[in-house]
Amino acid sequence: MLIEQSLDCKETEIKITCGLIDDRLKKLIEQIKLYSFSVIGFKDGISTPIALENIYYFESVDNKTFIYLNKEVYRCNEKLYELEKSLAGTAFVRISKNCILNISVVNSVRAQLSGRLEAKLSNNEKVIVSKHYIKAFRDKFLGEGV
Amino acid sequence: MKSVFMICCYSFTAVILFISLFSQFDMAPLLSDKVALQAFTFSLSIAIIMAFADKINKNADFSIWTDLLIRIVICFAVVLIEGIWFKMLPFSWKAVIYAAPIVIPVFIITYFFSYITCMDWADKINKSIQKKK
Repeated sequence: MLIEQSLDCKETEIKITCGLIDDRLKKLIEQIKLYSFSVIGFKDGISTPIALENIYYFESVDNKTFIYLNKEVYRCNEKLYELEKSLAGTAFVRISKNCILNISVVNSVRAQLSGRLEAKLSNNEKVIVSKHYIKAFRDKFLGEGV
Repeated sequence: MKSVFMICCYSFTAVILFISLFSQFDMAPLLSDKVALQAFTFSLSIAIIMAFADKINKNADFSIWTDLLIRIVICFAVVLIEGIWFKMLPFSWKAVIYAAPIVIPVFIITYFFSYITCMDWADKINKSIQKKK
């Protein structure tokens, strides 16, 4: 690992040189992206950049997108499908028609008789993973080769 | 494709078991090559239609009860139409009564197997989370 520190450097740049991207490297890249990017959230007329690692999930309700943090909720101007696109390759995954979840905040999962999964988050909140998104959700944890 | 194959396998196994069981009480025809092939046709048709229904459900995101109802209707419709076509069932309302002892347990078993698969995934995911911690 090569780290170059210089006071002249104005912007942090991360460069990965590799042969093939394997599962471990893919996870590392996801983590880097998670800690490098932010989304603009709105609350009481004030816009705030929110770091991705602090976001638990995005939810769309009545065509409005909300950002859920540990205890706070912000409005987001982006649509869920736009977020899904820009969050590709991060720890976020679509878990239902109206929710994108950060898998790094998942504490445990439980199967439901309906064939869905119930994910318990680190703030004790529970979200449901729809049947049709279970495979993508599972692959995010276990890799696509499972 | 994989899910179609899995549903087909589960339901075929269950259908064959129930036909064997009910034929002992003259409630179903004796198991023969022909009956086995017909049962396979039922299972495959149900699996394909269910996969198609899943595709629709993905966009509509039905509730669990609507989802269950759709699946039961698919099972009954396939067994009734093909059962009458293969002359395994009479062409009358009684066909529903004859089909029910096989369709309902088969449906429950197939659904239960899906739940087991889901439990297995949940278990693997939990292990992966524990490993990260």
